Amino acid sequence: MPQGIQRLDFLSVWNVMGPEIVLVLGGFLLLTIDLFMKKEQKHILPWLGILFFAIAGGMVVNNMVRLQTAEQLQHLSGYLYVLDDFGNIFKLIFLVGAALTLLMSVDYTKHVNLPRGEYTYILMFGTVGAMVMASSLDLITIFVGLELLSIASYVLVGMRRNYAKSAEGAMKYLMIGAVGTALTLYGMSFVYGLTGTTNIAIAMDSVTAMWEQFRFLFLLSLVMMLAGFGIKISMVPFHMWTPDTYEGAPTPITAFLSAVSKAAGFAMLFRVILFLYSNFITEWYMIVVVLAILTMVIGNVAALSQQNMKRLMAYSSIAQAGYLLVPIAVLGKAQGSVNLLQSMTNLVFYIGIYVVMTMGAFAIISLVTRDAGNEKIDAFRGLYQRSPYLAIALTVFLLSMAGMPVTAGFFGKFMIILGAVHTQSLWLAGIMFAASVISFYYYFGVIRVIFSKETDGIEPRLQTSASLSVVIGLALLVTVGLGVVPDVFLDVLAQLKWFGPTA
Amino acid sequence: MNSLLIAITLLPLIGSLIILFVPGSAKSQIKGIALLATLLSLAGALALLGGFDAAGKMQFQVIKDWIQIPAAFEQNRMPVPLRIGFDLGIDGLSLPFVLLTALVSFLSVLASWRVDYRTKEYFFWFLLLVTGLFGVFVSLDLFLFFLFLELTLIPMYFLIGIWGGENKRKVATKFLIYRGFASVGILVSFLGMAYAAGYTSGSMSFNMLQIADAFKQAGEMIPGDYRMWVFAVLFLAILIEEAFFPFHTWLPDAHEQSSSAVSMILGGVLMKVGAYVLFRIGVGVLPDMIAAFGTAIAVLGVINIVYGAMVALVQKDWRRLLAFSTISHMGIVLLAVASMTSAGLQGAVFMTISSGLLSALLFFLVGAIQHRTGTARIDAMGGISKQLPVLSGFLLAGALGSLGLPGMSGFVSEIVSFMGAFQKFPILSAIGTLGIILAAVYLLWAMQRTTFGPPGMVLEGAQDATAAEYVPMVLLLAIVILIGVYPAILGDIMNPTLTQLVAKIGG
Repeated sequence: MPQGIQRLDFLSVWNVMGPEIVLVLGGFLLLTIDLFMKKEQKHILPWLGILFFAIAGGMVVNNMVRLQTAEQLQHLSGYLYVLDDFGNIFKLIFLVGAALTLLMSVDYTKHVNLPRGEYTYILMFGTVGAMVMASSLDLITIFVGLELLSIASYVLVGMRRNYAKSAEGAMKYLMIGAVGTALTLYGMSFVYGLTGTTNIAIAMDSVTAMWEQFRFLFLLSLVMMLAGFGIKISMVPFHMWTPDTYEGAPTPITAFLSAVSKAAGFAMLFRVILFLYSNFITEWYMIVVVLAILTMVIGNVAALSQQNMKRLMAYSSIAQAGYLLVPIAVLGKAQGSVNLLQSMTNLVFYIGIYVVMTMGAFAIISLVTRDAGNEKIDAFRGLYQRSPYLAIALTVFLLSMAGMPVTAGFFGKFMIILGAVHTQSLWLAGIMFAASVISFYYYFGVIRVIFSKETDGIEPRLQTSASLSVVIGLALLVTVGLGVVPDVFLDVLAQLKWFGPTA
Repeated sequence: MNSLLIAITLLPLIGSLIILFVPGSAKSQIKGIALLATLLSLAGALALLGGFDAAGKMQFQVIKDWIQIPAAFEQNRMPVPLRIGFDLGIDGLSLPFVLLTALVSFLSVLASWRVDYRTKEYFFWFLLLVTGLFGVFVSLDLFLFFLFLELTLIPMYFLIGIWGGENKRKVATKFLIYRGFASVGILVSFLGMAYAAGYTSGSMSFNMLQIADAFKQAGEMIPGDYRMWVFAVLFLAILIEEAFFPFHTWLPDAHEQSSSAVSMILGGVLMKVGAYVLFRIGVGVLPDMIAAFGTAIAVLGVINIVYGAMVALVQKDWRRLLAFSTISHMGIVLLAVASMTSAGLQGAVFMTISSGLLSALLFFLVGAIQHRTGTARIDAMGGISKQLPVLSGFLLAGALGSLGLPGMSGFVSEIVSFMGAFQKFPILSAIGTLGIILAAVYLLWAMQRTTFGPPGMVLEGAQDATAAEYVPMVLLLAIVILIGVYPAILGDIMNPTLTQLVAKIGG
């Protein structure tokens, strides 16, 4: 546990924050060379960004392999920032998601005029924010990470300067995000006020000691932080910004928000809420249960009437956030640390899958909507005739989101429901699956449109650029692969030392 | 020999994949591939029948590990592993269903010969559906079972949604949502069962036999209300899946809007999956729950019998009439199963198979007649027996089989079912027999309005049954009569298995 003041030198920081440092330095490097580059040379910038993501990813993997005994658990300045596998696996997911976003953007920026330099390095900074959120064990550091990600997101959403919807989306996101920031900070200030520390590990003991006395204030702080984090993950009732922002943002950024930003929100939620208040989870888990149900049901029901593909995906992502809350909700009735790990495994498994299938779907959506010049679902009519490959890939992603077997999405839901069954929350599992049946309606609606015949004889075939093909191909491989042999990923998760080997 | 089950299941799938690589304009080749694939599966199913050992054991087993999770959950601080297997096998209960699937799918391809609209996709989905159906009946692993069950859902959605009637989209979605909810229930209850079995035995598996054993041997370790919830969810799912009242409304719609070949496979096979789940999982794993809720299930069965028949009475469309007639007939299955007697269970399986065969036959005939008259509406027809004597004759034969004429499969089924039911629920069964009388009324009345009397329409140049149409008609009718005259042909296969099931119940 923390002792005194530690002197920070570069090596100790590097040992803990290596991947983040690489990305930050990489971002600044890009920023600098962007200034001196000619416009026609700038197409190399996203590729440089991908390179940095790859390096950072390699370092994260290295960190995971190195972490075998308790002594090897690296941390910074008295558990301000820890390098446990919980953070590492999330970082990997962020990096994969962000790299896929950039890969998608290579194609997107060819057709939509966006400042490639800013776009790339702001995305890198945002990813660093997400990584900080996953690894910090201190409320202030978490907040810094949250703001870094949020501010980067606001800018990225509003980057299409001469597109009104982009500005509208950014504005809405900024406004609601600011409220969320205030709420989060306010909630955190309660914790600090009561416990005298912002360090989660220390505060945890104080919370346990003082819970009886200050139950109401602790619960208030929990609710406020939940609200703040809820905005990041599009949890009902803090989801209102989602459809407008998703619609307005450049499509790769929509994918980034829907996948990486949401995964970061969950990492933070799990870390803060469960660490600080886990001893009293029986007193508040019903809040999460209710929010999970509301999010699943409202997200899916609102999606039914959508005509715009990106808005549909926005509501679908709200619903998915509801499914992801279920592993947290069932913890209220679970006993034992293995169950906590199990819930976490289920959550991370689904998030990992979700990021990949979302990326795959948005890659196709970005291509098709650009080709059609609008984002209506009708733009997908007869996609099968125009490009069987894209049509089948999108069908697989949608089926995976709907939770059909032999796709990764099914197995993710399957693992979550297994966790629910184990805590005798059959009814919650039932609601979750019933909600996904509602989602059949709109997912299959899109699939039907994809396979319905174009009326006017000649259909120009869609050209898929190489970078997009890579994104789609990879996502397809993972979605189908993990649907058939999910143990591959589950085995990796089973070997993780979540909160360090001793925890 | 053991890979025969894999072959039967995968042949249609292989066929559908080959079709993907055939140009869409080569319609006759596509149809040929589909016919060949289903014919080979049929041959495989007959080979199964030939090599079947009627001792009631699970045979032709294929046991392969598929997904293994070292720690699915924790029990007493010990991780419980989870195994999902690619386990196939058949016994006397599944073999009749496999044969039914093989026969009806082959004949449905013949009935689909007229499909000229998007032929390639049609047969692609069709063969995929057939694979799903075979898979459902040969799976020994509940997870695999569910997977195949979902595989039937997607093709059927498209088969109704693209090749259906005017309201096809709405009805296809209705089908999807209803069956989707049924799937949810089935999956949740399967998981609940596998979990409970794993909890008592320390190792979680989705293998049906292991789950059934665990429930039998350590059943008392599973709390009563847990068993009750699992059963309630499963039973609710079966009610939706099998289109029992009050969850039946999707079935008449689906039949009304489907093409006749799709109706054949829907009414003939797909609609029997729910009953199969009831026999295999309901009776096989949770017999005590069926016994505990016997009266309620029987009442529901009788409601279905009478309600289905009464509603069938007022239908104006042949397809809807047949759909409600199916609901009524499957009500007998519920009543018979609820009795939990040997005869009741036997009758229920007989009824299911018989209803499958007769549905296939009748939907084929209605489709053939509709092709000539342009309508399936009963009041629009009239006197068609003058121009279409053969089709009308077969329709009459099918209707007679359906209303339970002695010498045909429907009669055996009803007699054995009610024999079982009367032992346990004399009054309810007496009310249930009303359904038999009503069936005679609505079927004969509909026949009379369709085939006899003054001609309702002029059919110029309408040709009676073609040579290709004789194959399904004669084949299906012959089997219906064969079972009716010599029920042992089916009974010998399934009785040992059913006896073992009933022995488990101890009733």
